[in-house]
Amino acid sequence: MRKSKLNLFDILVGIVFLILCFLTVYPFIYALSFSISDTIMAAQHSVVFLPRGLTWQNYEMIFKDDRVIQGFLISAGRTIIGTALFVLVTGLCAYAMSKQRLKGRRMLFIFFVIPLYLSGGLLPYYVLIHDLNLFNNFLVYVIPGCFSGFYMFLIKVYLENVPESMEESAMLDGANDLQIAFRIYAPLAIPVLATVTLFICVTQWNSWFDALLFVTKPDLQPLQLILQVILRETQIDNLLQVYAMTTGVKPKVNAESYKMAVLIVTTLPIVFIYPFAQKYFVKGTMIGAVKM
Amino acid sequence: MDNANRRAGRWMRQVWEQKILYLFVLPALMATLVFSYGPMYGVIMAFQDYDILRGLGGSDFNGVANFNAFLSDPDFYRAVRNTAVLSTLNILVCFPLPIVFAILINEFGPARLKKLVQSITYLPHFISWVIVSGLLYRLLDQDTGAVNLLLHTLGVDKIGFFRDPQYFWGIFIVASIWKELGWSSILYLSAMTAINPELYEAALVDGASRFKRIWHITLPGILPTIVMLLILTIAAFFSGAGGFEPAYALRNPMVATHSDIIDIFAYFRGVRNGEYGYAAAIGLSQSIMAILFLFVSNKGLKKLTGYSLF
Repeated sequence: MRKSKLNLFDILVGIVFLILCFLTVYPFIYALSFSISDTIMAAQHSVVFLPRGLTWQNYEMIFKDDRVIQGFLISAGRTIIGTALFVLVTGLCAYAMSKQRLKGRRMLFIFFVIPLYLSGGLLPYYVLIHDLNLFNNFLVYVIPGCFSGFYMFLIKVYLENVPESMEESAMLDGANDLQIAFRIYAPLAIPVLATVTLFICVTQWNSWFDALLFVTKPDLQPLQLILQVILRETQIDNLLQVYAMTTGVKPKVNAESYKMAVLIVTTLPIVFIYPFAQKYFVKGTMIGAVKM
Repeated sequence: MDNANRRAGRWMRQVWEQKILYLFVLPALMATLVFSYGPMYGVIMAFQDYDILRGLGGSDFNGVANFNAFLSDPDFYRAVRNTAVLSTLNILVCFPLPIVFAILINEFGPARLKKLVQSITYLPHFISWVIVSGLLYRLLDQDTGAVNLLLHTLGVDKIGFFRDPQYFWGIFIVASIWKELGWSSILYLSAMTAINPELYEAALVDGASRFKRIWHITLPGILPTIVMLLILTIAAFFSGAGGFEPAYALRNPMVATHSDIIDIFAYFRGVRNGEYGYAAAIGLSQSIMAILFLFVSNKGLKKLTGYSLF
């Protein structure tokens, strides 16, 4: 219907969009350039867009920083275990809840809906985690968040659209719910399960509030919290000394450029999965918007 | 009696036949019971001089003493002010912008550029507040940050953005827009796809201008979505714009007078100082206000627009 050739509106809005895209991407380019710049060069010619005097020393230093390695492993661990557990617990619940024949389905529905609107608040939750002995315990990253009513309803709605005839014929063949759930429904639900998996992966990787509240042991802290600590440090002299001693090279880096290197390393996993995840994210959000 | 027994027996047998389904629900049920309903029960600590070693059963009740305590605390009112300012700015600035952005995306012709703009602007939503804070502290650094270098070349004096509290609200709002502008537009865009294209065609035949098409077709089409999201945003008024995470990630002691919203205040008093009952009372008051604001804004907007959340 609309004219296909460029008009003034498209040109003006296009310029606004390009500025917006630049403003969105610029902080990342800046951080990356800063993290690979030679500090001495950078002090003379300030880094604003492109790196000055290329060096990888900041990234080499990360491999000598036990905190960062430790944090990376904890974050990877909680992301993998936490996501697997979440998809299993929430997916199985959604499967059962999608069955009309489930006795007490109505009551369970109300039971799962109420927490979507009401919560006890931070302090009662804090005390609960304390009483369950989950302080300084890896399980605090994966157990309390192993289920979400919101995602359960999202998967349930999807499963309800699977034709019942598939289940009936499987039942005639003598299959039980366990076999039907895993062999018939799970493969059919891959689009919605992929969406949920990606969302939870990102949530897990980005989580730091739970660690801030419940984990004081440094070797149990996830990368995000380690990054937060490093960002607030005014100096990293000890690390620079260790680097100078073990490599015999006087480092050409400072605290500020090192901070940006750790920040980039923390961001990279998200940037890598983003292109794959994007279409699922948008689709998942739209399903949620239409059906909730 | 016999009939009832038989019915109960049949019910039991049906339940037993579905034992695998119940097994599937069980872990989710346990998790919800413990981690969602547990804290709801724990709210009674707001009425106690709570002692973490003695627990809910062993702690002494002190009536509304916790509520009186925070209501007479001047620091609490500073937190309320900061929360109210950030939430108001959030509703006035951060809320309308994604609507404008979604309309521009919808009206924009070149399809490939449109896709690219969407892909890029959605990205910051998936970046944690810790990283956003790290980027901002670097960009706004007083001596070497890119923004101050730019100001310097323009002849403006360098600004200590994260040292002087007066800049905090502005930084917070700009950061929120940067992070969520693109992502927040998705719900509006999906609402726009549901608008009947014939309406636009008819408007084109009638010679309606672009502005008139937006005003008379697009906006009414997404009004239910706008109202729904506005009600939820207003209900969250006393959590500040985004609650604990952004405020905590962006704050530092030098800007505390402007950064510390109610959530931060309650965290420091409750978790750091161990004043559990006191902080729980604040949390409970926030929840009650949220429910109140939810119903009031629902009713108000229903009267105003005809649409509502429930």
